[in-house]
Amino acid sequence: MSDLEVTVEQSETAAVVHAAGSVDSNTAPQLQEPLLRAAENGAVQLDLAKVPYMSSAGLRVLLLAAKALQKRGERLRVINAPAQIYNVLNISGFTSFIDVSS
Amino acid sequence: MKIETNVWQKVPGTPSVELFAIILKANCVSSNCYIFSAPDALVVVDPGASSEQTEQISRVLTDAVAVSQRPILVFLTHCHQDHSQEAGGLGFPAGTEVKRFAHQSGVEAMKHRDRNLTTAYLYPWNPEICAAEFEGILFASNPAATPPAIELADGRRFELYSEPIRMPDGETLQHQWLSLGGGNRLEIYHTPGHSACSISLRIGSLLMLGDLPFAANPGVCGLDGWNHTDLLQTLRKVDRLMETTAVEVCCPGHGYCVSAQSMREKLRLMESEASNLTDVPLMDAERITALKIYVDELLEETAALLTIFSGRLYTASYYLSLLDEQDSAATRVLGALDIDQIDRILSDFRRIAEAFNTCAMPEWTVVLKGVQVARSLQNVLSTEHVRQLLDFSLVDRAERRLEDFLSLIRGLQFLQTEPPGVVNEIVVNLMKRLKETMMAEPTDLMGSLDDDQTFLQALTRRLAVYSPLRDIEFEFAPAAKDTKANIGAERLDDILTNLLEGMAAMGVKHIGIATRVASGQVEIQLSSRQRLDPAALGKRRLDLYNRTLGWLGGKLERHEHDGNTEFIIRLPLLNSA
Repeated sequence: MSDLEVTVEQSETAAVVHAAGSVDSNTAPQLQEPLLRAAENGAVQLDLAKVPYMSSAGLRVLLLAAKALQKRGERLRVINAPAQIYNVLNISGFTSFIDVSS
Repeated sequence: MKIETNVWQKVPGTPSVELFAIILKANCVSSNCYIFSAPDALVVVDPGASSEQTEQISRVLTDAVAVSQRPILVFLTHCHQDHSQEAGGLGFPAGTEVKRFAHQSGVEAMKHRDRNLTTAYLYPWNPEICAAEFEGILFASNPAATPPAIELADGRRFELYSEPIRMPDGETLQHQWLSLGGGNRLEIYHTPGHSACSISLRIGSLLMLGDLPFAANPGVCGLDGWNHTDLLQTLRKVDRLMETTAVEVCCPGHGYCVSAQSMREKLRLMESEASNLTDVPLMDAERITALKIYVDELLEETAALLTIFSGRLYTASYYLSLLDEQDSAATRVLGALDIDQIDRILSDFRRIAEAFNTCAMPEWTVVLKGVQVARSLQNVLSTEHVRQLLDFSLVDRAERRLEDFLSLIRGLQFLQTEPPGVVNEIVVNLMKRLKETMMAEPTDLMGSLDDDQTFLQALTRRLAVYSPLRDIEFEFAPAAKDTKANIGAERLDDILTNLLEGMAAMGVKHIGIATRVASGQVEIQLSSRQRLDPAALGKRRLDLYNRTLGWLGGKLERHEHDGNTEFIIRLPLLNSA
């Protein structure tokens, strides 16, 4: 049973990937595939408004997307990060190579 | 000898007994079941407590009776619900006689529907206690006959012979046996400790120990009927028994069978651990509920710390990959710590905790799972690689939380292992440490230039110790008075560092720290110049700090003043004289 839903919509400037549900080792692959596909094609925004929890498996997916984007000199943009996830991204140094807004 | 599951196999050390073992992945809902086929009887040890298992046992017994009509003797290693519930629920062909055996105190507990001694209270679905008749009262204090005998309808008898075994130290191991025909015997030993009614059973070279191997586990010791003195005596006696009889394999009540050698090592280790468990409080429903809340808080805190670990390693790998086209340095860094393994451990736990919240799991299961998770994480953290790669303070913080948890769940007191500290000094040292980490000169890099591996390690470490506190402007206003308080430096440092990191991660640029002495308390005030989202640090994490401080007579408060957020820690002042 999946408890993470991922949808992708294309705005004028970027693909916006919306995630809804916890991202952990069980669900991270469901985020990884569409996020990396979007990252191969252009700018990406990841909307975490409906993600209550993200484990290191989720961080790994962000890292992979950031590396894919970095090859083109772009940065991953995470939007609507809940306070706790914003906190972890900041403390662990992710905000030095991805843009995060809460 | 390997014990196979769900097949008949010969029992070593017997002329003609066969075993059909039903071995489950260890859980606290239903035990393993061992079925023996002997010339004069079929023996079932611990039917367990799951309807699927009962159906399987019934099928096996029906097939065995079809081959040779024999009575069925059901034995309980003890009366706990997960072993005994289905003792009256087994199905078998009409005309088959069933006789049930258990230790006298277990039979009485079930007869009186004692929900504590049978541990039925642990299960939220309010299970029925086994109501079947037990004809075989083992180790009865006043047996009706000598030897006690269980008579069948056709006049045949199973006589229980008592032959106490004298131990070299003068102690006695209570022992009974009965014949299974064809020169095969079932040996029964009274092995209390896990419960007063615990017995162990031996057929040939197989020893069934029930839950003795888990009796000192956190979350298991302290159940009603658990006894420290009995447990230590039993461990010594069973060790001696294994030395003097030809036991090859030990079959536990839960999980896989192991060699006698492994079990002896495990029981000896357990004896040394159990020797400290002199003052274990009763694991009653109230305590289990309190522990479950603590487990939730602790795992939230540990998950947060470990996600930060992983995140820092990922950050290091990101920058290393920018320098290294092949990504090999980055890959090596990530390979040093099994992040996926940590994540799986924590994700599994989270799911069990969620299952509890939907009433699908007993609270006790969450507590026991918490113990398992804490031990697994302790193993991961203790590896040398982790210490080489990561900020020591982060590893130490996580390790201390896990140690506190395992001590407390075992019923030991919250351990204040350090002497009380002077708060002003603790704050000064913390700020000094933070500054040193941030200002670390590249001497470590310079000194390691000659060797690729050392250089990579030094570079990774510098990347992995990234701290959000590096850009913070601190201001410390110490109390002029003596600030010796009832808390050790490490624990206070842990709480302060977590709070400061959390504040910094929320974008705070200036943190004021002030200490004050008033009304017999030392007060530590952390203030920002902005309002902070209360959700950012996590309610459970703040609850955990408050609980830890509470054990030391202190507390943590959060205040909003003129749009600014303040955390205030209060601790009992100690006289320095």
